Amino acid sequence: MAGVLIVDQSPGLARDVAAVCQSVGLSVVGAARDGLDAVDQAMRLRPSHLVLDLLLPRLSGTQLLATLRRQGLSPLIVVVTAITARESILAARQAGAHAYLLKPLATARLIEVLSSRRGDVVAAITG
Amino acid sequence: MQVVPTTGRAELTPFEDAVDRLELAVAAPVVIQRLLATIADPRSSVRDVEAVLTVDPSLVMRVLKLASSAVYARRPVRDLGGAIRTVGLHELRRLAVTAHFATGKSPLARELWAYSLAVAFACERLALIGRPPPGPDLFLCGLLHDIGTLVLDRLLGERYARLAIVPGDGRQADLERAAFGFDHTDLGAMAVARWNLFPELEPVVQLHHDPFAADRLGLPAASQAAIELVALARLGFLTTSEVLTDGEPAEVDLAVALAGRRGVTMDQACDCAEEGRAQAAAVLGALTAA
Repeated sequence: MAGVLIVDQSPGLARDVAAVCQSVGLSVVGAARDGLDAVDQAMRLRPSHLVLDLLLPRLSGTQLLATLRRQGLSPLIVVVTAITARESILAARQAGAHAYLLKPLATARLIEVLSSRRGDVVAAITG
Repeated sequence: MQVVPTTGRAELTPFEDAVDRLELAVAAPVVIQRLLATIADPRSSVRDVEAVLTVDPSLVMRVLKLASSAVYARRPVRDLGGAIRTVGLHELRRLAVTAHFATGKSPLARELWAYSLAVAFACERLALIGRPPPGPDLFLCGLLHDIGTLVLDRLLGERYARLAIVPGDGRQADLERAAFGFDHTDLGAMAVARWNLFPELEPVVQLHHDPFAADRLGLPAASQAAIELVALARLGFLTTSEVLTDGEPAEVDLAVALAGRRGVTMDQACDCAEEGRAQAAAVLGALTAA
């Protein structure tokens, strides 16, 4: 399904991401506030894009990405997180992340990332 | 790497804030990280293992106390070489992890480790009956599955104490989530992922209250078995506990379902829990003996 699944515990951030998605013509097909709910929604909705935090209750973002890979799902992945550790950025990249954006969210950069094509260089952006 | 000016909100969620302060609460167990990596490396010698441990003399003292106890050697073990000859490297690893973590004088810490050690020993016994596929060390999975409780206790102090948590209680995660927006499984999983002790530990820590969620994650069979055996050992502990006699119906149903899946009867699960509890008391007695 063409559309974005947003996974973040913060309703405010999820709203901001949804607004950005709509501004670039992407429909939001689902929103989850924890990792297990995100797995269920991703399996059901098979989104084309996944915008997620790594710090999630009930299943971490890293485990969520590993699960999607095991289940054969490969959405375009955009990480939006407060984790600045280099290992985390590398792990997200290995898990197939297209971009790694730091909170607080730079909306202009998210617009750019969501408008870009799959296969573009992974962007790691510091706040 | 591009650097872009930031806009928007800067506030952290309660969970992000807790993770941000995690290492202030519980330092990464560096000696244990090195020990597990050294023992897992087939090129390592006994001397390499001794060299890793001897940087922490107080840990060595506790390991020797445990190795000398009635649970293990039943005679004085005077040095690490003697401990390794007596119990072997596999058991030494467990002793060292126990000696590192199972300390702390607060009432919650004492309860936590009495419970966690009982679950660890019960897991070992359940595995002898249920015969899971080869996988992670079930003793260590059981011992560390509730590490998030320790982290929350250290991080939140009095705020956490007000919840009057009883380790292992099925209501624990709900109470924590209602109070803080996240629970000990979330924070514990984040801690062990950072510590990188062994890869199967994170799902055990995250899912021991929700073991059938592992079905949806497509985890390897050994990893799923570890989650289910730890969950069953927890429920066996509760079922045989004098403190928690009013088991939630949902917890009883979960225990029966898990026992059936692992090829264990509820009577066997309870026997394993009782034996685990006795072994845990002996180990903690040895650790606290003068």
